[in-house]
Amino acid sequence: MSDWWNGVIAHWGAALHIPLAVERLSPNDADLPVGEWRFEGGTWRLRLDAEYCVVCSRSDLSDATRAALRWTLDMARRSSRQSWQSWLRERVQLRLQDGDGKRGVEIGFSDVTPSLPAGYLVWLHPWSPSGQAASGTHHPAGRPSVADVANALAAGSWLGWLDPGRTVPYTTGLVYCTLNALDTALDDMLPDGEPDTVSAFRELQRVKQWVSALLVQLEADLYFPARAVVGASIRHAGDVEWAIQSLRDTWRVASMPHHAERVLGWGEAAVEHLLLALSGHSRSQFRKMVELRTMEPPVELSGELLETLLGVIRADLNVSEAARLLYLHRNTLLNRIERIRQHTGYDIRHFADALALWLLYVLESVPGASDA
Amino acid sequence: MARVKLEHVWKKYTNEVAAVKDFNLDIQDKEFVVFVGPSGCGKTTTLRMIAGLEDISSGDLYIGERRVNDVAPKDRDIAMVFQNYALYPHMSVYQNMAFALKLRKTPKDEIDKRVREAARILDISHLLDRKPKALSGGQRQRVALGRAIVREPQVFLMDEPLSNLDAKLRVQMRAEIRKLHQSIQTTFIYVTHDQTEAMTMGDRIVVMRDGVIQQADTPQRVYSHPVNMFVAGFIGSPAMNFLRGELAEEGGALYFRAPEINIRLPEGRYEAIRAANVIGKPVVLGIRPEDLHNDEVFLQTYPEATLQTHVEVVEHMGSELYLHVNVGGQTVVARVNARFDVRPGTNLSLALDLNKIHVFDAETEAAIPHPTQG
Ligand SMILES: Nc1ncnc2c1ncn2[C@@H]1O[C@H](COP(=O)(O)OP(=O)(O)O)[C@@H](O)[C@H]1O
Ligand SMILES: [Mg+2]
Repeated sequence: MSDWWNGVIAHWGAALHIPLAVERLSPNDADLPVGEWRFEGGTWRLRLDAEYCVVCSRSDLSDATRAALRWTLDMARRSSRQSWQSWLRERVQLRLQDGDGKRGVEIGFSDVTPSLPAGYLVWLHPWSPSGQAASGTHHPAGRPSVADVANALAAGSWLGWLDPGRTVPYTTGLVYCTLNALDTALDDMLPDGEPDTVSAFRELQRVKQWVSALLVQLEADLYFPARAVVGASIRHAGDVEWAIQSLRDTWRVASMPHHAERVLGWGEAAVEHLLLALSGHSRSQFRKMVELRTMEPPVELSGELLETLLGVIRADLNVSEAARLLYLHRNTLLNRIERIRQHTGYDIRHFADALALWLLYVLESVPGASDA
Repeated sequence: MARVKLEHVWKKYTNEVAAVKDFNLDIQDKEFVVFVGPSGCGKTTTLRMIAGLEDISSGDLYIGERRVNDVAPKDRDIAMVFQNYALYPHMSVYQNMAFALKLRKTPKDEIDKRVREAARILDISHLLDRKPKALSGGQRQRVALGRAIVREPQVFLMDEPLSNLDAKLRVQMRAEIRKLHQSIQTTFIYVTHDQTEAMTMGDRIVVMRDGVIQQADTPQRVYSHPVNMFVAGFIGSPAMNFLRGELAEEGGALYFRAPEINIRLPEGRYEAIRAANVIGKPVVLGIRPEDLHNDEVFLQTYPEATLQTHVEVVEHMGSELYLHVNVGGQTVVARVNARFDVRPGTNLSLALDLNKIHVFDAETEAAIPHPTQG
């Protein structure tokens, strides 16, 4: 007997305090279509398959509850026949299109999933450093082979193309990199495999290594330039929700202009993640506070000012190093820093000052940052 | 056939910042060209524009006779090898080499022919059935090259392909890639930040800085006739010495003068120096560490080109000594034979080989041309 319904029924029964039981079909049920409810002899019955039905002894089971349970059982039935790959793909697609809204009917969803190998979701964004890849590079005709390359690097890892809807306005690739595949792939790929993972951070670095290899192969073998973000780790199906959220957050961070990495992992830019969570009100207050010192607001973080600020920060506030990075003479840089001080009131050689301007820059460079 | 020509090529990532500025270069068919320069100077960006992975902001790019600005990368007839160009772990060497061709639906017997031919050139025929795991680092690298060779491209693009290898293997692979270039007779464009690699590999090297070509010439010419202080300092190890001073004219002769330094310049240089209009102005005198000599013969031949120095540090480099000496407050490095017994804290006379000196305008940092420059 198949038991794909067990998890759902146990979960629903406990969550809603309704008595649910699985029984063999009675002769009366013969004409009941699979997946349909019928009220009979004071009980609600839903046919599960050729042999079994679920029975609820409460006669007052509401329409909404019945519809939701039916939907969930339907999902469970489908996922019991699905590979984990297609389950995961549907799951991500559904979640992305649903935006931030929660679906009430998802109770018990994690109980109806096929068992998912532990791993990481990776989002591939067709991309070039300037956002201006030569024509043809991102043409859909080039896409089918992306699966071949991903699967050649780790079998079964490719999930497909999906439309993230509002999150990004183009089709992205979705890869599930399982830890098992990763281990063998990396050990075989790299001449001197690193010792086994000891921490989440190390594990993420390994995933990133694998993803970087994937990006290189895509370019070299398919002329397909892409960037990627890696979500939070998935240990079991219940982690998928959060992993999808983390993918989205990480992409928002990765889209900030100062992030030039080809691969960014969730949690690698913790400060930016924190800032993303601030409300629009906090953001505008922050700008007002920062500009208290400024003679002639607003502070415009662009052009030379921005280049200088980011250069000095990249050099850990070391002016000589910043001058080297920016190809400027040290005195030229000092002049610029002084001009910034006069214009904004901030001396970016000091940590707190540089930090304030940098935070302002990050807060305002997030897409859609001003809403909410 | 596969000439690559860049005409006034620019790359702008943003309105303010150009990563590549007015790049002009005509690469001949079968030439081995190396782009070299410090990190961030625009080498990768230029290569990616040639590959078609990046749009060209303005200017024209030709491969062969064809303008390819708007040609998709897969139709440009190029193959790329990158730093982290990995092998597919579960495939044999043969399958690895065949993979990109299979993706393009190349007929099976054609794939077979090309894979075997590439394996022969790279001397890896006996490894075709192995998995990557069973290969040494050098063998893997050759397979990676093989994966590009089988495409029979008109142009090879390599972006720091050796920088992940250890020093010994890197030296060995440089020679392998040179050999490969000779046997397959195709245009190679090779990117590196390592000047030694550039010097040992290129028919021609293109020194870049800040998105601008500084000099494009043979390694020998770039070494002996750098066009400016940047090239002079970037190429060569230890780096060229720069002495700051002034040019003075006295009794028809030209002298380079700085505290404790007075060097009479060879007459062959006068014309160019006068033309450059730098007499009486600050200049920089460049001299490579190996062009400073402490043997008696030299000191006697060039009495007017001798520096009285104070030895600060002596580095033993096997058959040579690197002497860090001070003259009038400026530090100079000299490379001398290890048979000399030189001790720190002593005084030492060093003669400059006057045929090898470089004179730069201190303001523009441009070299004042050498007479042999033609
Ligand atoms: N996506 C990007 N946005 C803005 N600037 C970039 C981007 N990618 C590269 N650059 C800049 O372009 C310049 C050249 O980079 P690159 O071609 O990678 O240099 P190289 O390969 O010589 O190290 C650098 O200043 C780099 O910071
Ligand atoms: Mg580079």
